[in-house]
Amino acid sequence: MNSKRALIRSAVAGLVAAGLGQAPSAIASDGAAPAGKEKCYGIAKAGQNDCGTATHACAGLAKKDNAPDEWKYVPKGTCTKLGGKLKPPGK
Amino acid sequence: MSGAPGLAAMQREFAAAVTAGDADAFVAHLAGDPGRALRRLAIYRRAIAANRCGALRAAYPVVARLVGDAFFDEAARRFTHASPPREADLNRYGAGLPAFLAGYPPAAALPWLADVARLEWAWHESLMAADASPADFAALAGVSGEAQPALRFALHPSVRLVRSAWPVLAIWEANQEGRDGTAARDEGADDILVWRDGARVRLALLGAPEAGFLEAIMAGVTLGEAADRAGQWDFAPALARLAGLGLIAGFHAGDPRPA
Repeated sequence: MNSKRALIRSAVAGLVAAGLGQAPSAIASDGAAPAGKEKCYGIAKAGQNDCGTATHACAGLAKKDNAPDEWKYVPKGTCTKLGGKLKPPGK
Repeated sequence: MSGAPGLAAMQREFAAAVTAGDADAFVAHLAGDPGRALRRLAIYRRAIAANRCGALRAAYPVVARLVGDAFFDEAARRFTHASPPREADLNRYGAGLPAFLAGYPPAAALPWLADVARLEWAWHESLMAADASPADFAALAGVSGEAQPALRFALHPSVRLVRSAWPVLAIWEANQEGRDGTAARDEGADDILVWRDGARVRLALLGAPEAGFLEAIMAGVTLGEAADRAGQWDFAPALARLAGLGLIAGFHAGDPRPA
């Protein structure tokens, strides 16, 4: 119980100290290195309600309403590169 | 024109014709050759279906790559029929796809697919989330030791946590632009913190205790309860890390003994 109090106290004190002395972005530098590799992806996404998509869709996309065929149920993308190797832990 | 429906009824019939393909009622009101009218309505119907499918593709590019175009389009077609958009902004459409994929029999051989989709939706939501300024931690100094366990933290709106038993981050990375789809790891479990830094979405792998702590804070529990759940694990660095990334947007000190 007391040790829990102490943990909380030191955690809050850490935030206060960092907040007083430094810019927020510097807080992570002391002892809080990321646990894993941090990946950053700054991908600009296209808006989905563009009139361009809507109005030109009928030209390029007015395919027939195909009845589903068997082959549409078979995954044929890069999942084959994963083979059958993937497993959750403990298996 | 006594047989013509009101405008609202006509619009409902038009919507049924172009979304559900249930065009008979609407076509009955049109002049001219019904077959011609049906072919013209089909242009709208296919354009709408293509736009919805396109919105899903934009939100789930990795899922699309993993399963290929034909499989994705067919799954998307079924999903859009079962769960059409409920609002006009298609950027918000598709939250239900991971759950749909989890129960989609043709995807049963890819048990990690739904979790990859959850990660993609988290990425997508994070990108669209509101901005928020970091909290003023100096004000925490005014919270007494007594009151500290009752603290609750509000995180940045872009923060998401994805927990999976599968190596979904490795799968996700392997299917980014220019990668060949071969995952660097074949085992999970992956606990992934998703957040936005400026205009960029970032992902970081967390340890299980840190993910558990974050999950508790995100659920809005008090610091005291989050500490209880953490057991002997020291959560201070995890909290400092969230603060350092600018992801603690606020806090409030609950009343330890409500009057």
